[in-house]
Amino acid sequence: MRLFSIDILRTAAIGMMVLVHFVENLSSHYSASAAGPVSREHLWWLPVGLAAPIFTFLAGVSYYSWLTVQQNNGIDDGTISKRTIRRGLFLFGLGFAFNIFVWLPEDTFNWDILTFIGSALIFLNFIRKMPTEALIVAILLVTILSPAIQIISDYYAYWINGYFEYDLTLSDVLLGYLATGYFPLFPWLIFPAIGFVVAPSFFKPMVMTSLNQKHSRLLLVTCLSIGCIAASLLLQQLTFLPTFIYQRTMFPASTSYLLRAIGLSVLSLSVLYFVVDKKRNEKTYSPTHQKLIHSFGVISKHSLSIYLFHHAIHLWPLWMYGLLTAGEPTAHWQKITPVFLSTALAILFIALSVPAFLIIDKYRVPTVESVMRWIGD
Amino acid sequence: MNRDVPHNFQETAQQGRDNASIRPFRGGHVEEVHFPSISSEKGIEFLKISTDDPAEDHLDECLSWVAAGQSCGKPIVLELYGTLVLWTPTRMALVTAPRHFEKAQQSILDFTKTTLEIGTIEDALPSCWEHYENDLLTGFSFCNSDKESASALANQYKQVMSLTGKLSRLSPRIHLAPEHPPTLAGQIGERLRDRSRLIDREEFVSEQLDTMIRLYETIGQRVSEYTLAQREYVLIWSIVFLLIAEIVLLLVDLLSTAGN
Repeated sequence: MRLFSIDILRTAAIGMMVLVHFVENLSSHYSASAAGPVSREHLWWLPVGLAAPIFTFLAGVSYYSWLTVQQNNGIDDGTISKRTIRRGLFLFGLGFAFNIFVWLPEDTFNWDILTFIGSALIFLNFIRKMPTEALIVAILLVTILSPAIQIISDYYAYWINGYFEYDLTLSDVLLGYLATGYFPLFPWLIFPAIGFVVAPSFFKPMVMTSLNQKHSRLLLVTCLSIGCIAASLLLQQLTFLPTFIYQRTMFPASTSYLLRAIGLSVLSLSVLYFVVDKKRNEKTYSPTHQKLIHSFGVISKHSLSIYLFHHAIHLWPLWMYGLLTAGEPTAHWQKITPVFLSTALAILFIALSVPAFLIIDKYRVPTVESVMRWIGD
Repeated sequence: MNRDVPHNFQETAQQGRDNASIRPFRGGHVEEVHFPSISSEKGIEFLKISTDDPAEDHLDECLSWVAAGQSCGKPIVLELYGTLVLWTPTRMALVTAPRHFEKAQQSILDFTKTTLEIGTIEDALPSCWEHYENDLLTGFSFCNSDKESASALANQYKQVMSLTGKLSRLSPRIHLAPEHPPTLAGQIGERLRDRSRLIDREEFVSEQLDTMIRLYETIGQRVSEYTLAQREYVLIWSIVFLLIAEIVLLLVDLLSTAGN
């Protein structure tokens, strides 16, 4: 059930994530830059806002694949639910631990991507038996309701200087989880849900008779993804609409941003599927290609560990250095290195991840993924 | 007169003769007969000896010729009013007087075609039984949201029904009423059907197919119920989602008011 296209796309997503985080956390306000203080707008080449949608979309696709394997292995429904919820709760708890230890305790409830994916897994467990049509209705509802929810919740009141700021009150924490945090349920739930809905188009049908049906479904999915990108571009022109709809922003995730991100995620997977998986025959690949595919597999398999580790490796030294030199951990945050150095560090980190995780696999060192499987299964 | 044989059946037998290739044999000739309606790679070899000599004179040579065909099991041997018939699924022989030859030959071809057709159905049964065992649980409940399994079940149903249809069409030929007044051709057909236990075989196949049909009819009902339920679910879940959306909006409004 393993698809190369998913491995490649997940590697691309984690690569973009590492690059964006290294550059943003080490250099986005580096004053010694020739162009003045750099910002997201200045770094036009930085793939901001793409990695998280792809990552969460692939969470839905992978969940479908995992679910199919469980069902084919004859695992009963109750056990599948238990395993899913345990995995979801593990990620949810890991997200909090990550917030506390990496972003420091004041950011415990910033609702980052791990707590979101944990919640999404639990959500997927509830929707997995629903008819596809009902899921599509739910996805449309979430997409349509999200701008309204953002307006009602006074989204911008929680975002100061581009960062989520909240009071440690129940209402702020719950609102953050639902609508105003970094990755709130509304509207981010649509990414794993769409991944789950479109996943059957990419996996082998059980019987040959439905092969044509699969191809037509795949074509429909690809056309819809192009339609989403076109709709996003159109929405951006409709400036009389509220900013939550037409302005392409990741925080808040506007409707135009959502459509573009959905379109790009689905289209990337479809294109990779047609290019890589449809012509899949390992014997025809050269040794270099096989090594490359293997590397993608390693990164994809350990994407969760890489996500955690890349934060720890650049933020912990930064916090310690700030604490030692200025008495404040975040004293050098976003202004310690020039952009080229943080970019080089990100590339070096990705390059070293492959051999590092190969060694980890060889000696069977426990990783976050293996711990999750141990707890979940 | 072989009046009970349907016209199209005689036509098929005629086609069988049309596709024959002829080789000479001592006192007769061998034809390779193919039945276009039955997909068989190899034809059946038919030794035809039309002679006024006593048929017993040819018994040994016919037996050795049929045995050389490497057919499994003993051949059916009929000696009837001076006519000799030897039959196996791969080789058959007819020794009779020229005046009876045409009708006797047709009777043997009719029987062969019927036997081959029932054999095809019997051959298809083991794979159907495999599916039957796998699909047993689905007869009790169908809860797989994957439409692929529904189409696989539909195909299986179609195959079983198709076999049943074929068997139904064969039945009149198997249960052919005895001719009155009796004829040589009629007697040959009747004896061959009797000796090859065609009626029993038809009964066994019919019973097996009945069992399978019972399962697949139940499955069809389950799938239909499931499809109808799914349609209702879409509506129910859409209503539930709308209600959840309303609750979420209220909750967000409440939380933001509380926060302020």
